[in-house]
Amino acid sequence: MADITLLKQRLSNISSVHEITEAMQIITTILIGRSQKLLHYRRKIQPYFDRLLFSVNSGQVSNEKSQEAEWVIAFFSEKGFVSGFNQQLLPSLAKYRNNPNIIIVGEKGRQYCEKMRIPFKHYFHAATSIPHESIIEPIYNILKKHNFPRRTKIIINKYNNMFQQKPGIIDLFPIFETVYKPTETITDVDRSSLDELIIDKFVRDRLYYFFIQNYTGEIGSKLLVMKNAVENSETLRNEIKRDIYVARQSSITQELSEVVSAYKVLQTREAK
Amino acid sequence: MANIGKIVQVIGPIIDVKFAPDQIPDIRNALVINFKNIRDGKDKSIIAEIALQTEGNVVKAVALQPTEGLARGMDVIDTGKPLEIAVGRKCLGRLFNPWGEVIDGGEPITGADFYPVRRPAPKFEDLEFQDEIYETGIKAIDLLSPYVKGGKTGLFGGAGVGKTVVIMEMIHNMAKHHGGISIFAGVGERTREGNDLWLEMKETGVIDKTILLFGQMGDLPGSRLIVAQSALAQAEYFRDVAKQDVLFFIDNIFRFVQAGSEISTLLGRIPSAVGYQPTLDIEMGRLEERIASTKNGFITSIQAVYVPADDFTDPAAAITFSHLDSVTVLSRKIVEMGIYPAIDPLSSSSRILNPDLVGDDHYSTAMSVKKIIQRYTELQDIIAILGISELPEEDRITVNRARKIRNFLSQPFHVAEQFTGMQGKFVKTEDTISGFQRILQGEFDDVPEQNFLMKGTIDEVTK
Repeated sequence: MADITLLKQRLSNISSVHEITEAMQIITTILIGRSQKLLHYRRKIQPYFDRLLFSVNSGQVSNEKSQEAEWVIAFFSEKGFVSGFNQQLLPSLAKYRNNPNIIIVGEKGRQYCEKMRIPFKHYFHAATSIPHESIIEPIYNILKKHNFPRRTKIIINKYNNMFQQKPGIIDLFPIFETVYKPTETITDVDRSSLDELIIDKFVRDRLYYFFIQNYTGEIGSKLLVMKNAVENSETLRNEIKRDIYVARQSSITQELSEVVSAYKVLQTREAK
Repeated sequence: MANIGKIVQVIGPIIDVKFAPDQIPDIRNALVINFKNIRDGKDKSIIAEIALQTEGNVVKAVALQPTEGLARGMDVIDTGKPLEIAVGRKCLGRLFNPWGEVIDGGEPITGADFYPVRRPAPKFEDLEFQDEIYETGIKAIDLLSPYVKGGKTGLFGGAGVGKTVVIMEMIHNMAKHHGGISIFAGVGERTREGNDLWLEMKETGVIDKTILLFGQMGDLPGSRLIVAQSALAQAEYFRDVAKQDVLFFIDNIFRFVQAGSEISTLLGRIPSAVGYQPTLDIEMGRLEERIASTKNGFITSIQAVYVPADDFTDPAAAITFSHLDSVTVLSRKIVEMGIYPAIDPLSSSSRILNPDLVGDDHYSTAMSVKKIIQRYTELQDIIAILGISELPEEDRITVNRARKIRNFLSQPFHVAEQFTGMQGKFVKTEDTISGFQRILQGEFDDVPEQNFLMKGTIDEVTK
């Protein structure tokens, strides 16, 4: 029979883990509600930004820029407990291991790069309350400095729902020149300035969209992990509780049978 | 003129016999009852051993054979001496019951020396200790709980975890390479296993250096209680007179305690903790103290110990622990994983596992193996809750190596070849140590953990 003290100790440890995971599940449930709402909104307005971009002079985003160096921005989670969220991005990232222009977003991505010896040029935290300042702006500035490299790839988990997040490689700018249809416009400013403004707005917005998608994915994965952890700890707790009951019942039965048998023996002796 | 008493009561295996007031026999004297069997009309003889003297010139004797056919008023002969059995070279290669009758269908032993079944333990000044490893060829044992030459070893485990198979394998490995005499006491276990062992020994040719004694589970408690003592008397003869080293196997010492408990209850003693006999300590102590190595020779004993309900705090298991030099614990959890032998690396230990005695290499490897498995055990709850992918990198490496080590502790046995379909392996201690060292160093981090199951040396893993 198992030692009751040890079982109780184990039960106490598992109960602590259960409480923590339950609290984390509640927090992630609140967070995912917000981020999913935001992501849904971004998805709704994204086609308008795309159309705006497609209206710019194709020369701004193609032609001579196609020969420029390739850039890669990989979005990972900031923290752990996200199951295979990060691992499933690694094969895509590994394809670009020789690319000198890699930007990593998320602490876990940095750790994986170091472990897999993938060099990266810039690194940013993925968890922040001010993403525009701490992630979007710096990445935007890097891209701007390099004249918005047309062949910029985004490695990210495409968020469909909590249970389905598909890893993929996405172009920051749609690459086919045919989609760019310059339109005749009458504006007070000159056309190139307008195009610059559109690209500026598009890049910022697209980066923010990726950030939201990555963040929602991270929270979604975490929620799933915590949900499973709560269930597993509950099962484990019930098993240990059952073992404790069995051990306790066994010791009670044992003690009772000892008392009864000793009493019987003494009674027999007295009778003699 | 023989001292003759009369049966006054028979309760199961306990016979109450009344003697004349001035002729009450000593406790432990052997009694003989000759009578005609009512079923077949043949002459029958029952041996009993006096356990208690009570009021009214009555002694309570424990019968070693079934008491069917006995009646009140029958004559009981006091032999005037304790129970004795034939010992010596003439007994080699033979099978005996606890009171020394041959049970292999062969001719009875004649012209042999006789030894009392119950003998005192050797004197302090005659005792001799050695700190030499007795190689078993079983990786998990040789690494984690090495056996001491001339020492006492216990194989602990609940029902059906493989104690008998391990002990059979050790007989196969050790008795074959051992130059001295091997003695096996089958105490309260399955008769079939005894038969298997006898046939196995005949096949391997070690029977000529072996004596087997059986008081199996169908026998009376008196028989099961005395069989280990009878076997020990044989061992003592070879140690003290023939001055030879003896390998002494007992399967299962718990049945000895259980038989003692049954008799104690029948004798009307007040039960002690968990219903065991109040004399548990002294009974076990008297037996275990006799299993000793002296200046004349060594008795290296290996004892299987059944652990009731897998509870190691059970008094029978606990009292046995205190007498042993090495402890090998078989675990049900490991059996459930399909790993054989199911040796629990954390609970198994040995007095000899000391850097001064086994060497730094062996000691540090054993400790590292225990440490890594300990860490894995600590992490198991977290893995069950969150999954292995959530562990930090270093813990994930620890878990992977620990699982490989756990699998590599398995080994195909010669005696289980018919069940596993794999050829049994005897692994030398130096190969065992180097194998575990290489796993610990991460040399096999890329090899799937399944490859480590049921392998002998580490070289077989990569084949």
